[in-house]
Amino acid sequence: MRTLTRRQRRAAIALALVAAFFCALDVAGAPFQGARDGVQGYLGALYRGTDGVLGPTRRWVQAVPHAGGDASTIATLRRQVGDLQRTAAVTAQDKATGKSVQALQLQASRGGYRIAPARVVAIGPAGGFDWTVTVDAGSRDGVKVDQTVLAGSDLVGRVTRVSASSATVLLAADPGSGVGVRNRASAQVGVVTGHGLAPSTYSPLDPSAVPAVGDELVTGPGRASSYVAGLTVGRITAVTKQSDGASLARVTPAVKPAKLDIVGVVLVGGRLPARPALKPTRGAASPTVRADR
Amino acid sequence: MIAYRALIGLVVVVTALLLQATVVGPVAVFVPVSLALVVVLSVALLSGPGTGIALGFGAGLLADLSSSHAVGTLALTWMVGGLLAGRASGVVAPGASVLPANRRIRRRIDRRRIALRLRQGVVVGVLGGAVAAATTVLEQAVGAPVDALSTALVRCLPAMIGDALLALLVLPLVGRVLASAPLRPRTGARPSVAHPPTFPLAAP
Repeated sequence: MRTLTRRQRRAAIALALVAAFFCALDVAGAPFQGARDGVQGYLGALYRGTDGVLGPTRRWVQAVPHAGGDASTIATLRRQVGDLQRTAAVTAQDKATGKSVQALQLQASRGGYRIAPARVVAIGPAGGFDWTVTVDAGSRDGVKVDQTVLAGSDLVGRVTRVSASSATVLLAADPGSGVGVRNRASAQVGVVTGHGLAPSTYSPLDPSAVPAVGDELVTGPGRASSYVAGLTVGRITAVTKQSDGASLARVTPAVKPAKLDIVGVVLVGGRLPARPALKPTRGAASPTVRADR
Repeated sequence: MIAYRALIGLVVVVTALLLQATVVGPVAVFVPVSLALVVVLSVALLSGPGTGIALGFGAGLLADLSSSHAVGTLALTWMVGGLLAGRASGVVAPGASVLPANRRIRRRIDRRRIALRLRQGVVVGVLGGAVAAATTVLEQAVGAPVDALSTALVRCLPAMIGDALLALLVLPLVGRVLASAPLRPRTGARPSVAHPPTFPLAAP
């Protein structure tokens, strides 16, 4: 064992006394705060710098013991996130479907007919130039050829072909199809002809009738039309006068074919209540008229 | 010369404190290992009691100022630790550093050197653990002496083992640094530890 020289012994004792003195001073009151702050501030800056360099390695070393557990936790969380995202997407879709079906229900009550709800499963036929969509209701749901197809209270088209579980619907925008309509504002009757992507055109039956911009057109009598009455076809956006004096109006359709999702097929025609015959009243001054529907 | 050694000492201690805070502390979470203490004890073990006292006090004071306990606790305990390590340097100091040409003898010396290093590591570990225990006692002695004693005993053994392991890494580096030309003590002024004295020096 190396013995201490006298100088070293004296130095050790002196330093020990100084350290004890510092202890007592610090416990009692605190002249050391300034030195403390200085050292800690300086070291703090150095710590940050060092951690910037060594931090990633240190964190990697710390993560090694529970790497396996972390990996399985990550896998579980990923699965949960995937499930939740799917649920959210399905919920949003369900909400939209619910709204569409509600509109159909409303129309069924309003019109007094039975509607088979269906979803559009294909737009456009496999080959051919008709403007058609395919819906997933067929003859086993009661769908028959020539039945009206609607979305809410708007006209979509007419059933042209039916199979057991699906049906083809000819859209009202089909170039070549004409829908008999009635101008709601002026009660004028006319025909709306579809032009595919371009806006449809409306020509009133009465050549002297002048349709106004903003008039709403609903299905009504007109060319041997088998559509259920009262469904919105479109709104007039422009009126031009043709060479032969008749007016030609541009119509924006109420329904955009690309946005079709839930539609309804009217299974029976509008049920008109049995119209009672007008009978001469006994003793009453004015005749009573029963409005139909 | 002294200023140079003091500067080197300051740099080494600050580096040790930095590494302790950023690397050793977070990794060895429940083991109260202190890299700066291990460095101080290694230097004292290889240099002697004088260096041990001075370095222990200085490093302890710096470590005290960078923490929240009473200033002077670590200064006192680390100084005593440096003193004891310096005293032990006579026993576990390395032998001659001249390498003979014979390979078998060299291998034997290598084995002896490894054994020596292990012994040094153990000494540093034991001292380190004892110092940690003493520090704990001092820190908490004011409030609850009995608790302080039991906490100190609980921390003692893991600290010893941890410090010993660290010392095995630190000692070779410290030895190499101390043997470098600027730091090698001038022959004649002080007994050099690398070459054991062949004649008794007159102690002042």
